[in-house]
Amino acid sequence: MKKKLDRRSFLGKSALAGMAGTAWLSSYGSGLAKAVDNAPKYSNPSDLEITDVKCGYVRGSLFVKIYTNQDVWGCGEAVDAIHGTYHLVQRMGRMIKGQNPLNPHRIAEFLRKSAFFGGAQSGMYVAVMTAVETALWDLTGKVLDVPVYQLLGGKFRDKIRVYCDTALYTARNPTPADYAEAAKDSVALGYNAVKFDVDDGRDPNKYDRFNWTANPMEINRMYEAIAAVREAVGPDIDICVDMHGRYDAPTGLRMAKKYEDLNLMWLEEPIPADNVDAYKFITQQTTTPICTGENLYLAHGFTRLLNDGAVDIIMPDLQKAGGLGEGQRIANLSNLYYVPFAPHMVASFLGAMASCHVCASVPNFMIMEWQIYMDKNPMWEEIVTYDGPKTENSFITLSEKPGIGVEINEEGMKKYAVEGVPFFE
Amino acid sequence: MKKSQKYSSRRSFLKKGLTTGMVGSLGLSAFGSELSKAVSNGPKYSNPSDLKITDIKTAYMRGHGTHMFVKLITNQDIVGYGEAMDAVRGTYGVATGSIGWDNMRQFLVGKNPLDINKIFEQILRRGHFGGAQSGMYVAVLTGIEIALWDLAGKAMDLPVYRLMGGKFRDRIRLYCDTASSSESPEDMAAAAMDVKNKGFTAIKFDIDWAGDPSKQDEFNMTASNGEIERMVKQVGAVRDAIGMNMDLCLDAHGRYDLPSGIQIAKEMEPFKLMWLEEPIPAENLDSLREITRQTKTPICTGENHYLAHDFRKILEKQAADIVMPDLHKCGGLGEGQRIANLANLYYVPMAPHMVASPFGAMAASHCCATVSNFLCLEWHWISKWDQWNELIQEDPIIEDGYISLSDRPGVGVTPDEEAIRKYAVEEAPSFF
Repeated sequence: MKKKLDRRSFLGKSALAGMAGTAWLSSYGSGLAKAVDNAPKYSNPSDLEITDVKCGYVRGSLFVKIYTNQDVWGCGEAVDAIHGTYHLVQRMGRMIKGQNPLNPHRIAEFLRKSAFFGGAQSGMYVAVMTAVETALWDLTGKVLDVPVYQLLGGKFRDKIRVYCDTALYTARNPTPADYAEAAKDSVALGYNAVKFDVDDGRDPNKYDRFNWTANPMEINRMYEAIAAVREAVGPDIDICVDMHGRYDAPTGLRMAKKYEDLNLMWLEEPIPADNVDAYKFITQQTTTPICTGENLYLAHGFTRLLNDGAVDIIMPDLQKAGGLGEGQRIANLSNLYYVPFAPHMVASFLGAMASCHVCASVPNFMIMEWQIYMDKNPMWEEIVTYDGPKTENSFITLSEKPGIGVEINEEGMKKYAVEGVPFFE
Repeated sequence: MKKSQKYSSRRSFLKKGLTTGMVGSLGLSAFGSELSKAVSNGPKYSNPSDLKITDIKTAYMRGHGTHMFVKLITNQDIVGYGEAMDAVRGTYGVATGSIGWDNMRQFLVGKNPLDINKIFEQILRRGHFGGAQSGMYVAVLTGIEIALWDLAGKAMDLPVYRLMGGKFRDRIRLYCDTASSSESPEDMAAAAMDVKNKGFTAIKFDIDWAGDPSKQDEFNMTASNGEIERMVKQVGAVRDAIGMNMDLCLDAHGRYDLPSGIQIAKEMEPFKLMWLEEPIPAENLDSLREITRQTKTPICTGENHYLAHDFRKILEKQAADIVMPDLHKCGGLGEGQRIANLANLYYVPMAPHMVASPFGAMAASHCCATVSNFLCLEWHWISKWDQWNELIQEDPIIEDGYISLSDRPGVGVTPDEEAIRKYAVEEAPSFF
């Protein structure tokens, strides 16, 4: 009996809008009050509620599904700081059971506040919460029939630029020629930006396994590897270098200055994540842009870094840092300092697309990470369900489907599941 | 063909159980068991979309100061309303382009209105050399931004708060701004009791009074002992009348200098205020921090600050205890949410300044609902309650000192154009 106002008619192609008829359309224009009074009251109150949260673990990823009383679910993913957290997921599930899932900001805040004494400042609790928060966005988007970016204020862009991490770190003691070849390989696949790791704990020239100072031979190795990449790809391809926080401040500064003539897009984590003053020390003395963030959590993790001008580019991991809403808040914060937002990303295509919705929704998005193994290893195809290509010419096309637009494929994922951990049970 | 989507519409998930049953379970189960197939057959809503802004119109009204209403018109007989306040008088044409070339209209016509933050940012960037850092340009843009939210919500059949990540609360707590500082302590106490009896849980008074006979000089900003004595008597009478459990705020409208600001804040300490607002003007945050550091009375500022950048400076300096952006001046609902989120990183609550119409009040309420650190929202119409009620097509929105958040599409209330016309600013060259 209720008068049905269907947003699709406003949004579809004109043929479709025509089909829907115009009688009720005109009531929006000329008699809105009447129309809205007759519209259904969607969510207040609503019978939709969370009934269960289940999870599965594959390699470095935690996959979460939030179930409801109405046979619609949401999918989320967290990475890296999630090993051994099965019981924490169960606990968070019990905490949010019975709640209406359509208020992701509110539920995320509830989970955070509930664990002020339980580790909610940083680390594993935040990472696990991130998977749950992401699944809430997916669920909300599906239920409201809109893609997640629309719930974040709309999009600035339809395509999300990615750089290709070449994963050359899997090779033992690669030579500059190996670096050059890997770079050409990525460029041949269409990527216009590449990233290489240069930290190497197995470097035979290392004098000491524990101190963090690189000797002249290591410094030359790190420089020559990237010089070979620049030589191979020419001046127009962006190159990023990651040191994984495995060096001390003088080494970090020395490498940043040595790399200056190679015109990097950035040098990432020349030192560990914790000391803002040390970052400032390096950033202010070099023209190489310095980037950090994958080991920082929540917007709080970025306030002092930005306030002190300690970094040129930030790279929160949106599968660790607190979720999609927190990711947007971090980007908005960095925008106040004219600092670009370049998220770290080592998740499956579910996490990648979830991140893309945030990247689309903020002005200062720069580029997002992509892993070459996702193009080459079939596991990454099997564990999720989606339409179309993943990347094309260094871009991911933002999904227009309700929610995130990528689903967990439990059947495909099962054989890769971490042994000994219950899998979506 | 496209109309028979495999998956059910969102309404099916959200309606009461009875309605869900009526819809049947076929569509519902498709989401559960065959989502990937269902979604690939689903319509692609907004990419591309034919919904386009075709025109922008404005109307200026006298109510609580000058109001600018915005109306965005589309190619699909759906309109979005916005409202901006205070820093809009004389801005006729800035939004609509009837005068001059560098107007905001050109960035709206032909645009899909659903990407609100993008359009906001585009207009902000375009005004980089045209005053987009602060003041009137931002206030006018604010009216447009709110209209975009209203339009997007209507187009998608969702209340604005849903498009901002959902709500923390269903009711928005108001504080009532009331009697003038020229009244006697007894009259102020009586006015306060009247507000309390109407159901409000918080109240605000102005304490600055340009006509105070104890004032020694028309232009300097130093409060004399006589003035401070007058303030103490007034506030004491109010506190005695309403008791300690009703929240009490004071506004000094930035009309005092630094030593007076410190002295007033300290004199007010026994009254346990919710806040003292703008004891000094807005520009110098180092001075404000001095006051904040020297007193137990919480200090609040923000109605004359614009964009998240201004609030970043307040918060980095810890210059205030509470921030009060005016959501009809500072950039809008999206910027308001960003300001609140920023304040939240400093454990600072947001209590928006608000003197807009009931339409603007409901728009602000959507933003307030979507952030955790919302404290309370201003309401400043107790002396003009009749005009307030006239300004929207719907029933009054305030009950017992709260606004119940609308669940209707968009902002959820509609400006009454005829009522607004009654109070139109004559010097404005056009009305919608």
